[in-house]
Amino acid sequence: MTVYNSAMDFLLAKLDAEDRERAGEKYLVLLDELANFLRLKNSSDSQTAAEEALDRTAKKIAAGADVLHIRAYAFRVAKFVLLEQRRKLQPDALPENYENRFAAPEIKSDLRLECLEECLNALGFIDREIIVNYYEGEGRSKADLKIKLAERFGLTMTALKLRALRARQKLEKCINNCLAKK
Amino acid sequence: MTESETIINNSDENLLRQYLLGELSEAESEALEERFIDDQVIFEQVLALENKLIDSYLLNRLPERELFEKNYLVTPEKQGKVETARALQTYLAGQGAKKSVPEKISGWQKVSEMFAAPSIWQYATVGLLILLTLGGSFLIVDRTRLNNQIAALQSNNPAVSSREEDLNSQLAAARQRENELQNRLREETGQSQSLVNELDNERKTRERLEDEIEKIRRIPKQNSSLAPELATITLRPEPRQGEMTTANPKIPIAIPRNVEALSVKLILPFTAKIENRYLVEFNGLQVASNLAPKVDPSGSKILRFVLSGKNISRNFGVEAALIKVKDLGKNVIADYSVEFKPQ
Repeated sequence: MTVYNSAMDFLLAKLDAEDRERAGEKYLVLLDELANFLRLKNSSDSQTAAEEALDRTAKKIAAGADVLHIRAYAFRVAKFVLLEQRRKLQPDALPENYENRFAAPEIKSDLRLECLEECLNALGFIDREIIVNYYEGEGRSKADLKIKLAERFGLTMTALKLRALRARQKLEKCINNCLAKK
Repeated sequence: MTESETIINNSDENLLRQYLLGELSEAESEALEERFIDDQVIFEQVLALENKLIDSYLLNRLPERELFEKNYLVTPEKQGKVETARALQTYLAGQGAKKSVPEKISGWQKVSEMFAAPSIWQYATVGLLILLTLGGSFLIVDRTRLNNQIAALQSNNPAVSSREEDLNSQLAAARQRENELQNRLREETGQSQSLVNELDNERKTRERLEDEIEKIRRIPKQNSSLAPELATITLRPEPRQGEMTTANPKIPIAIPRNVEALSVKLILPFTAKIENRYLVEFNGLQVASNLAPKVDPSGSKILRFVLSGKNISRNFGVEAALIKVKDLGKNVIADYSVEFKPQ
């Protein structure tokens, strides 16, 4: 346990040597990035695999590995963790009637909607406004909404897109936590 | 726009799309992954495109629908992400029909407008709003704590029952004032400075209550045989010019020396308005603020407040005390002359 804490200290220092709090924030951002990457790569448990990848990265740094670019290094470690995960587990198969399952309203959908509302309310004002307006509408009206939204918050379209992405990630994470509790 | 952002062009987007839909070979996927491993912006583009594909799929507007189902929707985590996106669309569709989200938060709409074209005043107002919100939260937390303290005291000492009544009545008034402040906060951002002052007064009142409760807490539990530490006095106003009253000025009041707190009930003149708030001065020293009048069983409008031990000891040696009740415009609405006679 001591070794782990010490390794984590090395990693945090590498992420930001001067500000421990900022290092912690960078750690969480990297953890989310890795989890997203592993999800895209069809990991069966992206969060655990991401944590494992960062744990190993920390230990490598503590052991004296010369890591210049932590993010790239951690992504590569994550790929190895994923390979190991795949060796251990069979990939989860889709239910045969997957589309029908979507079509039929289930209690679980209600739960998800319930969590969605809870999490939207828990989001900050700007994130909530961006989510609600950025992903609303279709076609031209959607494009117009986005332009108005960017103007309203003084953002470029690129910055708005990024902000919407991060807000949605935050929302999804909150919903997953909420569902896990219910 | 940064250099990384310019890298993303249409052909890149097509490549990312193919990656997400599992149309790239392993070598092509590896090469692309190397790019976004080295560049966070590209990776964020991948994730944004993933959301776009999911949304299009759910709206039945994704041309590569089969590919998506076959190659993307292959893990519970991705299925969960799609279901969450579906829930979001359902929610937004409902909101689109009702358009209730902006209305629900219309009180805060002004804040968002400030971000659209920020100015020093707007930033200052946002700061004040945050301050007021924190102040309001503190009031709620503190009120709960005061209630708990009173509840704990109830079982300890019968001598404090009237004191509790006073504190409870003041806390009820504080609760009402909080609600009013919250309402005004929503409605009158332009008058935020005066709200800050009012909140500051509230904080002072609370601190005084806290001192009082602390004093009572220190009273030994089994000392009912001792002289009381708390006294209650009721005062009628002196006649003001052109006003008929049954006031009885300068009644000598005997107060035991060990009294640490004085509960004061002031009967207000009939001209006092129940909806107004008042402050009380004791020989020129403000001892209570923002008091809400109440109507007692006899139908008189009254103000209740407590003079703390500090005030008593400060004023006890004064033979004659002049208590003034003023409205928030600092107009005197009633005077009370008292003679304190220590026993």
